[in-house]
Amino acid sequence: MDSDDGLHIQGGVDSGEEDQEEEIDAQGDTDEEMTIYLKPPEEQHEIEQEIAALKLAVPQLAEDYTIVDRLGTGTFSSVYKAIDLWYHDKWDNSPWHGHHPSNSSAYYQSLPHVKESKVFVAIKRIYVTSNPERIRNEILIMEDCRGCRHAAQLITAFRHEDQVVAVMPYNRNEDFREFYRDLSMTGIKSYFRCMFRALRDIHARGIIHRDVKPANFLFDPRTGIGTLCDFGLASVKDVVNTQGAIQRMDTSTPAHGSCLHTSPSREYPHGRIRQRGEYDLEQIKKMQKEARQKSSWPSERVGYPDKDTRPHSKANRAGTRGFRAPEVLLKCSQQSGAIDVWSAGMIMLFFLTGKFPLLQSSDDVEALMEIAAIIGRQKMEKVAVVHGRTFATNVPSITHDGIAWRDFVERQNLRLMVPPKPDPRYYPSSATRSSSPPGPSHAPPTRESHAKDVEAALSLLAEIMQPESTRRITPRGALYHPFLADPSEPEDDELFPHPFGEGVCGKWHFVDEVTEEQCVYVHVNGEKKVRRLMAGEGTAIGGWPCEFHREEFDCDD
Amino acid sequence: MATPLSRRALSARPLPLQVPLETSPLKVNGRSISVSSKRARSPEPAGDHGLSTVKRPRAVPPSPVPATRQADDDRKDRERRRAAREAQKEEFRTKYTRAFPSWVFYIDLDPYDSESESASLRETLAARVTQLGGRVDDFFSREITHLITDQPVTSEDPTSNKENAHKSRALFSRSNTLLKSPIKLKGRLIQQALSLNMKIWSTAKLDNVLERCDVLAPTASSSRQPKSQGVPLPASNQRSLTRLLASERLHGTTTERDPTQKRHDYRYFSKSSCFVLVEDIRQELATIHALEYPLKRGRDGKDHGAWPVLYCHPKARGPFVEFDEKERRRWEKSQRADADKEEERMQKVARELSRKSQAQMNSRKAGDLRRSVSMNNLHRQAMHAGMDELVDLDADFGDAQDSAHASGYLASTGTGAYIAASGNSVGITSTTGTTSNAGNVFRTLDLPASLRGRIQQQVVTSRKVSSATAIKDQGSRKAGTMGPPVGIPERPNGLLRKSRSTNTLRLPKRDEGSKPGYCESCKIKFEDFDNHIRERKHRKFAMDDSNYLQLDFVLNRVQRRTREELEEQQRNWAVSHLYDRSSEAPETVLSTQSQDTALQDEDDVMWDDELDAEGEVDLEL
Repeated sequence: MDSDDGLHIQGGVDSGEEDQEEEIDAQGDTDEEMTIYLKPPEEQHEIEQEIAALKLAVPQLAEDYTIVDRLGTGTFSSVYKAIDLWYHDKWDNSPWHGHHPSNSSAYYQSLPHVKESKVFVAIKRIYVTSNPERIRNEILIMEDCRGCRHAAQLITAFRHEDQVVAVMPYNRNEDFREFYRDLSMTGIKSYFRCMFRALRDIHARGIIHRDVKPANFLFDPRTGIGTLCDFGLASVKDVVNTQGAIQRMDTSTPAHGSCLHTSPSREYPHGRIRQRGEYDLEQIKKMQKEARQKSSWPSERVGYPDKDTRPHSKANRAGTRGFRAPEVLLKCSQQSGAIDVWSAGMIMLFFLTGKFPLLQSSDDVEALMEIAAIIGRQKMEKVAVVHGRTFATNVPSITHDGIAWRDFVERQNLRLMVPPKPDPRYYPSSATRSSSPPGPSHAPPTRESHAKDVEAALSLLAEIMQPESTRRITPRGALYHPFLADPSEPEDDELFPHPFGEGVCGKWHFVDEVTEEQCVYVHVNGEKKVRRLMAGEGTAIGGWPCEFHREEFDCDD
Repeated sequence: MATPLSRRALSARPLPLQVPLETSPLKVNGRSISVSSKRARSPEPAGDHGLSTVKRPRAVPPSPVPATRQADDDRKDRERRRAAREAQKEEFRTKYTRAFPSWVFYIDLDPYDSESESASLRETLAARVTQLGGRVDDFFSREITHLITDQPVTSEDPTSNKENAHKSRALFSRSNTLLKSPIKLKGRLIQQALSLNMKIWSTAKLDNVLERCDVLAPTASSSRQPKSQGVPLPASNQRSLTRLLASERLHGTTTERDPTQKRHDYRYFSKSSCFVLVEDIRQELATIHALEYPLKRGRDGKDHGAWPVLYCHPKARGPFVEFDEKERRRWEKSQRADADKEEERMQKVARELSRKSQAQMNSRKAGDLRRSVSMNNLHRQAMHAGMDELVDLDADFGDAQDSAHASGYLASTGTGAYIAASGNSVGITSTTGTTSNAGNVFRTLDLPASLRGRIQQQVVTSRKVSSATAIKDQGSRKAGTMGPPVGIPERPNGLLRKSRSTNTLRLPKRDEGSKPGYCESCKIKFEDFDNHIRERKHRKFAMDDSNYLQLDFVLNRVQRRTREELEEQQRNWAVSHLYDRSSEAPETVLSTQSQDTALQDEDDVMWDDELDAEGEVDLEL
């Protein structure tokens, strides 16, 4: 729900208190249990109070978890760090670990913790003033995200009276502002591979995150692993798909103000422009012409109904300023996963320009004007029409053609083509020394290799920052783009965890109509038996069947 | 704005408006029918002739005698007078038409009384009022500006019987609260209206005014048609040709209007201002965005607005920041800070390396070193986080409006009342909710500069107040309440309190003592989070499991299983196997597959309309 459940370490230490005696090493492992003692005493005390309060509010926590620190506070929740006391002995952790293969970047998610090791988790405390239905929505979405790569996994969740907590794996991460200017191209690629894999997987499940931004993407620059978190603003719409599984994408057409593009579909995940004949072309041309005239009229002749009795747009605009896609700002009523792709593109701009934040507008119409100032009047008018809007303005800084995103980057970052010095703290340089995901050891970038990377990044950027949502690249498309596709690794389709009921063994998966439980047919001694599953179980990956149907496909488990 | 205008019109107007009460509604209707074919507003003399002939047959008696000079003069004089009358009529029409949208009517006729004509009369009057942009309210409240009643007006104070009696309205706070039920008010309605300085018109007068504004009563037959509904349909829903024609007559334009024509019910941007206007291309939705950038004359004599200008300067903080002297200084400062930071880090790494080799030589207490190293690493991170606070860019772009939205507690309320609620220093926060809030759309226009300033001020003040209360409230804050964290807590025992210098005393990052917000469960706004969740209403909600049934259903499903439970489930599963085998005819995989194929087909059908999509429309219009 909020943004700042980002698990970055909060607080600060007055520089005067800095202990000059102690030295640091970039590779130093942190004692995760003791982090609270690095915070100022006032904050420590405050956190201790909160932890005590949380234990009282949810008595069943104490038995299984020891809360050790606060990771972040947001407007809708606070997140705490805790030790999962009985991880090794008490629990069946297989549903949330999933079965990502060892060549997947998400393999770490499926890797059980080393025996006897202390296991840390993040406990999200959702504030009690949240409506139970809103909480249910968030938990449902997290349930569906089981098995998604680089998305925060739900370990468990429970309630005591009005207090609901959700438990997730703890992901070490650093504040974006700390590393975005120093991360190498390899690191940036790693960031966006994780990002787009997460988006590909959740979008395939009909989930739109709606709040993609650095604070909600926990990235550890030392390992190059990122995790998309906080599904508090995420939205879904129910549509039944194959096998009766729930597929959520908004295919309903609103009564008023519908767009000139379709809702997302399988074939067109970002929708497509409607066919001629599905709308009144003459009317649209006329209105667009009128809007253009308004742009040139004296301002005192341009008006709009004073006491407007027409219905207001009910479009969802949840998200964060500076990250909202043009269609959100235009109040498009048939939004798709494309809005998440745009937000990811904003993050890419931070890396490439070396500036953060870039857009500073405080409200939607000003945000729209900032985008218009970049992409130009002509493109903005066209985007508006795609979403059934007219755009008229006489603001002199809005030029006809705007500038290309490439120019936008190049003008702001004169050092774009200069390869940065390898930073020993960060991936991939750090990867040689610490445990990290599979990643080939990289030679430091040469001027040539860096220039090639920048070219590819700029080319991908243009496709991500496509203001027309229907033409914006999909997460899958981004993963296959030369910037992110790695010829030395298996292609993404092979590692894609299919939504429940899809993939090669999908025909043996179904959702019980009454209980809504996910079930599989399992073949035992030539007979077909039904087995109920927990969310996350029975996920087919790439061309491989799920863990229940390996025999049928002659696979070794 | 329109009201004083219309008042002047009323006082200047010599025409008798107060139609005698005995005029029956039916008679009014009857008369309307006779003139409904004529257009009173036509300025052409020919039309005038026609009109007056029909309307007042006796006023222009056909003269059998040849025209004499005397008669000629008479005629000229009559025409002059008629022209003057027409001008007055025109003035009346214009002024009343302008005033209507700001008026709210309460029609004191029983909408369910189908016996007499009152129901249908009420209906037609209401429809005609709506047509002029006025509003008819079903409830008698302070919001009403005009009471329409045929009850005799009696009052202790005869002077107040004049509709223009000037009584200080400040005496009555005209909040929008409903007065008592109209049923209870029967009889007292007029007194109430008088005391609230409402205008009291008879139905006949309203009819007359409407007629003179060219909103004619419908014919008797059509007026009876939609009898079943007590509440008249809003005019916008009546798409009949009659209505369109009537509206055309009224506005002089059609809905297929000429956009260059100024409209009385429109709001226009200021002269030579800069604006953005985003509208629904089908005109079905209310204006999407309308924003006016006020112009300021700069020192260079040019006009500047607050609109975004793309500079893209490499050394500025952002693309819309001009690299001026101030920005240059800021850049130089940040460059120095970066360099210092980097140097410091390198020194630390170097020292750490030497220390490490030292430690290796000493080789004992290796574990301790490891611990201190790790502590320090975190220390460093924490410190950097602290530094970021100082360069929080958002502080520069802080905006009262946005902080209201940033508060999750407000979620969907969006009023300005709790602007300080979020008080967070982490620049970028999420918002939730939909865009049904219209007030926000036109914020620059709605708030005059002075008012905007005041809101900013309020934010600051309330922040101060709340941080003050934060410290005060700590004592009363009980453990076990699950609010968002409060400010710096005071130590329960003074023993542990260290003396702190002022610069180490940090204000809470994003929390305030009293945390106002909105409780989605109780559906009320609250002043203080902790107080609210202890209130009986909220506790009652929290203790009632039935409020959480659906949530519990999902929570149950995602609950982590213990290994024991898993084993038990697997045992049961094995048992059910045995059971299934004996009771059920074995199903073959084939049958499942055919079933699945059927589902597959359905799915194909479902996506069909998407698949045959060809020929994208070229939107280069």
